[in-house]
Amino acid sequence: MKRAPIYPVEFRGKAGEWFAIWIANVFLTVVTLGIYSAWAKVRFKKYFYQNTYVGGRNFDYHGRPKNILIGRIIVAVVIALSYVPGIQVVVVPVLILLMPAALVLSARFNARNSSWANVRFDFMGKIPRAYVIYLIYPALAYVALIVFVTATFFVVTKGSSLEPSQLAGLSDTGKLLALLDVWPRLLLAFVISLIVALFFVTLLFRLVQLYAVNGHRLAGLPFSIDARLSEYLGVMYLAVLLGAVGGAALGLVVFALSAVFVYWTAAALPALVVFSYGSLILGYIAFRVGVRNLLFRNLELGRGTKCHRFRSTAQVLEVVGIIVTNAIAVSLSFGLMLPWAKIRYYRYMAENTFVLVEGNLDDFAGDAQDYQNSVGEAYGDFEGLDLGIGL
Amino acid sequence: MNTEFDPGAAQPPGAAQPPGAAQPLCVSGQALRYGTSAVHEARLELRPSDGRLYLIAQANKEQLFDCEPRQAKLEPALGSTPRRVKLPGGHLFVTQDPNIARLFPESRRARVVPILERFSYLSLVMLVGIILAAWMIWRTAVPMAAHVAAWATPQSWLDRMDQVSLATLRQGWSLDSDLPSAQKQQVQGLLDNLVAALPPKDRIGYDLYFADASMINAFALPGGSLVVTDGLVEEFAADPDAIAGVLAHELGHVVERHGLKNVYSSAGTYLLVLAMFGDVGPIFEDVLVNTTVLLDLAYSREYEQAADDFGLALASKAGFEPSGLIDFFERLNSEAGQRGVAPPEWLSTHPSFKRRLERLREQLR
Repeated sequence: MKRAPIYPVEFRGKAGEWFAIWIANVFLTVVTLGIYSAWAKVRFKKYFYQNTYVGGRNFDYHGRPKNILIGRIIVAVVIALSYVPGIQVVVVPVLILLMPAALVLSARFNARNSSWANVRFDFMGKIPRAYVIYLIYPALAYVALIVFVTATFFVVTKGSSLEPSQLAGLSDTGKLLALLDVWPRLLLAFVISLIVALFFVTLLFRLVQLYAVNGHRLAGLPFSIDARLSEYLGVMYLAVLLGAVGGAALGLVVFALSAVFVYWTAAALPALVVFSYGSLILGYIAFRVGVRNLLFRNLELGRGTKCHRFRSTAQVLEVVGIIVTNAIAVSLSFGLMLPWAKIRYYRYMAENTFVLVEGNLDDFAGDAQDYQNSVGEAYGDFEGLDLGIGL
Repeated sequence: MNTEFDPGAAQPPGAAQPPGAAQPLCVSGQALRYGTSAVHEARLELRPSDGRLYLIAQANKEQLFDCEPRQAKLEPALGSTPRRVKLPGGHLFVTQDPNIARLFPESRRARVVPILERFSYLSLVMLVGIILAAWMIWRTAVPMAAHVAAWATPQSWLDRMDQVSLATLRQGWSLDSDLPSAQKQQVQGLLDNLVAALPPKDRIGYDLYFADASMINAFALPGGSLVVTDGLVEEFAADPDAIAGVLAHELGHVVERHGLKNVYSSAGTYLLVLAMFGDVGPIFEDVLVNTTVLLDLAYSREYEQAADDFGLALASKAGFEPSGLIDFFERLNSEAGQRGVAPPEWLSTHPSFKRRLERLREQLR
């Protein structure tokens, strides 16, 4: 059987060039007291989209600055209203109720205003389904989780000195001692609760991702993934483990270094800070990279057996290296290296993405409808449902 | 369809024109039909004979399309990306040839923006401009806007904010301390004297709360609720002028609406930083947020200074010894000196005691 030709995703943006555009964007934004920011956003998106190529054809962004500006004004007014005492009680619940619909409009706006080779993307996700995915399932999971955690702690501490009947007569110190007495049981309960909580989070995450991806179209051809839950769970638990172990290792190194070079009583605090930040960053990046690779591995574009497929070859440690050195460079340069950092990250992600083309890249054909909607754009600014390129 | 067309010749087809007469402007690139991904090598021609644009396939010289120039739209240049021409009907023409700009009269904005976006000495001028403008906005526009917004906020909102804050405070502290009621009444009396010295429009209802805490502290909520700790009342039981000085300082925060201005100016700083850096990614965002917090502290220190000035004037107007506030800071300063190092001023919500004392003494002189 003939192997499908592999097209790498190519990024041709240059740091120096983007730096000059960015300076102009910031300058015009500041001197127009923020109004130009809507135009700046379009310049940013166009620059990154138009420099991204698959098979010699680039992407483009078609959002109109005026709609983005109106969207931002709507957001500003709504945010301001949600802080007004009195109105607050009404505005905040209404916003939460409108959120799923707004997310769908936002995904539609972003998709329809993204194109590759003069072919538009589209988002066809249904609004009622969004309510189930974004409101009802999370609410159910939340209740289930609370019930489970309460039950776990109840079962684990049953028969121990932590039972209410035993605690009743004790002083505060006595209660503390009772707590210390059963710490292995509490640790067990905590670990079980954590595993179950992560299970629920992963379950919801997968549903959201399937909904978002399966709603997208390119030239009428559907994107689809049907990745199994076990794959997502594997990514999630590995990421948490990597975060915990890696963070602890970093913390230990810092502890040892400050114990040797400073003084051992002063070593605990920096070690703790490094542990908590380190494990958070490591775990977060490991999860994002793992999910990205899993998403592209399972993603198909097309119908039936003639589907285009994708691959992502991003590596967790490489991404960690890029993000950490980027943050250092940007901080030390007071933000001046930000364009360079962005180009560097984006280029890495593009170069680690491949399209396995089944048939011919010339064969895409569909309606290129124009879609301008300020409400959709308003949410688009906040939510990362932008799957146009999926970098 | 124009089969006679010869791409090699600069002459329009079939026309015997004198040499030097207008020749067609011609740019080669790629064409993509409406809603399709297939790329056709093609060229776009502006023919002077009829003033129309023609799109011609390079392969077989077939004329694909023609239209009036004003129906097509040349997108503004963007770095070194290929220029894009949106043809009517959703067709697209893409080219690297800069001559494309000669086919279309570009709007002023489409011409100016790419000039600003090219790296040149102008970029450096704009960089300096950004720094200056951001500084000016942060120093003048943000505080001014916060000032206006603070005065426009109705008192009823402030009262509601106070209720929420007091409810939160009550979770950690008792706000009805065990202090003897005589002592409470004495402090309330000091407050009443101070309020009586305020101009009538500023005499909104002030509520005094005694927090059951041994530290020495006092603060005001924007709606007019003042909280003093038992530690403060007990420490300065023999020095009512000091307590009056502190209360007058807190009244200054309320009357000049410092709490509210702080909220508004923080929001302003955050927006300014957001507008400048935009979406920066998860880790650097933390760095950015912490920077804005440091910037906000500068406003906070200025408000403290303003409240000191206000308190000094109010206390002396109400008949108290104006040096009461000075006694207060001197006592705290010596205690802080015994406890050890204070954080540097730029990391602090309040100016250092030393600086505040200097300023107050200068005013009394």
